[in-house]
Amino acid sequence: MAATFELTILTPEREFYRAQAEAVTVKVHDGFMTILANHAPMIASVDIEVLKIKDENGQWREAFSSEGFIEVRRDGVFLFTQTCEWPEEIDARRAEEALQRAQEKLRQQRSMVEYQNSKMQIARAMERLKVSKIHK
Amino acid sequence: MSSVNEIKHRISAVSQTKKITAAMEMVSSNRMRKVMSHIEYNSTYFQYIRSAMDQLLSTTEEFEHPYLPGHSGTKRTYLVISGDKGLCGSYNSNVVKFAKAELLAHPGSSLITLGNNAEEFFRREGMTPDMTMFGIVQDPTMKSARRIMREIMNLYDTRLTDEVYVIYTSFFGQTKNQPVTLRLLPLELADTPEKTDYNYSNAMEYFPDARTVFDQIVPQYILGLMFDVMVQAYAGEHFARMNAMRSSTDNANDMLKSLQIQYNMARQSAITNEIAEITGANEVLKER
Repeated sequence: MAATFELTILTPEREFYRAQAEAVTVKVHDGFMTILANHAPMIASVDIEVLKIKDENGQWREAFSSEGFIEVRRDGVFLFTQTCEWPEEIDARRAEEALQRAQEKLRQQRSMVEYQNSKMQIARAMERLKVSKIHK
Repeated sequence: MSSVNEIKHRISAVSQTKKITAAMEMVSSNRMRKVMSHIEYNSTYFQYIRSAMDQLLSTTEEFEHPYLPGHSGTKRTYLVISGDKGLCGSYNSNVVKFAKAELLAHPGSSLITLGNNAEEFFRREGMTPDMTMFGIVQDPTMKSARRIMREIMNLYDTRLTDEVYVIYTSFFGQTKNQPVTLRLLPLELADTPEKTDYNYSNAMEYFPDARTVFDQIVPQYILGLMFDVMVQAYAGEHFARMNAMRSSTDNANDMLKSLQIQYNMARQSAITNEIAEITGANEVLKER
């Protein structure tokens, strides 16, 4: 059996995951990064992504995660994101609607803040849809 | 002495009101309990972010960042959080009075209000808010916290403001249920993080680099802080309303008790009167 480490995923609203894991894959600014046990201490910023966790039984699980950062420490790996959802928790129709709404808003392009907001909304909606489709 | 019917009417009115206040008390205590569960997770989340940030600042060489203290300018922005509705004791008036004093002490500051009560108050005072956001205090969610965070960071990034403060009602510690001021930006760090001796066992690798990571952490930090503040204000509002409603329910009970006595007395005297009339009439009839 492969070596495991303790993975904790926290959001401001809940503790999403706290268990032993073999590996976790996150999206960093230039691609994907997989962290295994005994990784050197590191902090990396992560993008809105499809998060992959290999649990202690060697099973890969996928989840939606929004932007945040990951901290690798000697005593475990911590991922902090604004929201994190399992595929079964994602409402595909709602994500689809959100995507359309955001795209419509982007077309109207008013201020810089709104532009950034719509961009983020689109990214979030698209990743959510990706996760929910993988699951079907 | 008022008539029996009049008192009866008052009794029914007071008991109706009592039903409403009792229901409002229940609702507020439920809402408070519901929102309290967020506080716990958020504070752990927040502590981790805080420690990651402190560590980043203490292990990397000095770097200048617009979000760190030490840049020029004193244009302040105040974000005032009040309730949308009244009927919660002195909750609203405390926080707006505190905010007003703060604003008068720093003339030329911008004002952002969350909650109808604060907005109306400042309009009446002739200090029209520069920005208001509706429907947020009713429903403290990550989504609305994110919206506020974006607005604030945008104001700060475009240098329309140099310092951002939030005035809200604290729910914890010694300042429980008192209005407090908290600085959001530039970041308020627990003293300047002491430069610990460079310790290789604590050495962190930053990917892609410390600055990018810091750029990513700051919004998270502010978001966590904002969410915490919103949740505390919400819990505080409902706590105040719960207490106000409890005391009005108690008052209604006292009132009902004294009304009941009055009613009994009025009824008694009405009956006595009637008997006196009947016996009087009887006497007259007998004499005939």
